[in-house]
Amino acid sequence: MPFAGIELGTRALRAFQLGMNVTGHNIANVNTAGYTRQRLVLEPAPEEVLGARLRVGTGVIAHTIQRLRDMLLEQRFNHNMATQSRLEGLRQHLEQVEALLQEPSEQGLHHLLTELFNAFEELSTRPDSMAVRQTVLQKATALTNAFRSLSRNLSLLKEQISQTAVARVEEVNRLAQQLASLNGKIRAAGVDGQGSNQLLDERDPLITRLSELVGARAQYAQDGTVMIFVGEHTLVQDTAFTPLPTQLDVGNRGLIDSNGNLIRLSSGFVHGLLEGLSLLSDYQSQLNLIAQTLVERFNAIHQTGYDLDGNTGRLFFEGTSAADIRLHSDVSDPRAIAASANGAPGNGEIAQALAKLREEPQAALGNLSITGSYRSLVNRIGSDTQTYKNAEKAQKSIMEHLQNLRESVSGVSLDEEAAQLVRYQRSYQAAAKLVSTFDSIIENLLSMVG
Amino acid sequence: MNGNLFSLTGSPQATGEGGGITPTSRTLGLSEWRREAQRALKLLDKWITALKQRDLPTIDRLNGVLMEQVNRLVPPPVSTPPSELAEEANHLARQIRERLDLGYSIIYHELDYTHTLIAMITRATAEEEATCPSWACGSLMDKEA
Repeated sequence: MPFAGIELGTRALRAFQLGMNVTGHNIANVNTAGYTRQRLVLEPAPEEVLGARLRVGTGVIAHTIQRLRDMLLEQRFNHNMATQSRLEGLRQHLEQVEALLQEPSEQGLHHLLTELFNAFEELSTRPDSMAVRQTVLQKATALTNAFRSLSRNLSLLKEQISQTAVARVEEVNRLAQQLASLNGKIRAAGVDGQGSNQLLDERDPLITRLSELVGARAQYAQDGTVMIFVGEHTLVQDTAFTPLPTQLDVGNRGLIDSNGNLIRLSSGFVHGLLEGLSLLSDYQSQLNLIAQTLVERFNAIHQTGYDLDGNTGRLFFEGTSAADIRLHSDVSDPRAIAASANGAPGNGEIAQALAKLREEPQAALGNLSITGSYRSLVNRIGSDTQTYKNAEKAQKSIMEHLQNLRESVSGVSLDEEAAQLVRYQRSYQAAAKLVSTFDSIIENLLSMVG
Repeated sequence: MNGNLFSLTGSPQATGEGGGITPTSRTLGLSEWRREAQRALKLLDKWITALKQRDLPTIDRLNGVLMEQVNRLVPPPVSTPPSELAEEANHLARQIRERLDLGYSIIYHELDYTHTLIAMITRATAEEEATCPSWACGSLMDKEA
């Protein structure tokens, strides 16, 4: 059941509605994720100067509610900010990869591969033409240059992403240091002191930024200080902070400390960068495999042919990956291209066999041809980019909703506000029912045509 | 054969002259479904916007309209042979699923947040004699292990 969460929420709401008729005590500890062990502390206390955050009702209860409301939203906001930031990091870099591919265009590898195969096709019909032989070498050189250039640019992009990730981790450490210092000031000012609101206002953006960068979680203590966690790592506790290490672990989406321990990141911009690095490595591996297959298959066939001077056993390409593929020194002269299968200058069977590699399935490439495998790589990059773009767009909608929640005007009294909130609950519950109904219909259809 | 036929119960194009389902009627059925799905998509986009903006009158109105629209999408094809139309229906269904996922996330946040807030307000108003400090929120979150 993909939307079971909403049903659970609905059951909890029913419990609340019952409780509301009896006593508020029964529903104080509502079964809400992340809030179950928290409760309002209602203690006698003198009226205080109301800070800028006071936007609801009058009196200290209202102020308390407002402060809690801010916290509730802040936590939700920060969590979603971390997700959005992660998607943004990923999308930005995937778009850069797409730009590097230059597809479709005359500079793109697909076009250059096609041009090379076309040149061999032409050579198979005019094997003794020096002009055609020259064209083959030009096209092959252009292709190998493009492979190396793309590989180099992907490596540079990876390096750049790694540097950005490290810089962001260093920023996290600076923020953590500031936060630890603020903790000390907040405690010194006293949580009910005149200056505490200002200090708390100073603190909140730091926590948001930490969430944005590394998906940090905050836990608030009785004395007004805050503890910050990144995964299992305690970043800030009281006035102390333990900096995050800057050694990246791309595979595990985390950071490695000096003892070799992994600090796993769950979200945030740096997580997005690590995911981006991982995807880039996959793309690069695929590109390397295509280049390697091209070298091996071309050489295997070319070696069996004869050049215009009757020589055989010549290699066409050299290298083992996209990073070092180049034309072999054996074919620096156009006469040295082995187009003939029997040594006769008019024979173009080897050139024909090389041209046929264009669409010939290759076991090393999962039975895709060389051009097919490259097309598949381009499609995958396009599809990945689109997926993350869509996810980022959806996440922006969620953030927009949270902004609207944050800016929602509350009632003039708590009673009125509660009544208003119930109206929202009713409409959104009806919307939840709609989601469930709709989903079951779509599920049916997908199982039939999917 | 029947396994490959679309179920078109309630659809005027469902039966041929002899009351059986013809290949033409199958295509019409899926075409109809596609048309209704496209309409649903547009409505869902408006619904998402209303959910985001917490626009209650529009949410209520679209909840009603969309519930009717769901009925128009029932019953879907029983099974389909691979075709361009079936592929398009699949694509539309996935787009609808994306909207539902997004709608779900927004609704979840709304219900979770308003639910917690109502509980807090109720608790506070139930103890009118009590006051509470106006200071830091942190101290209000009493963590019980």
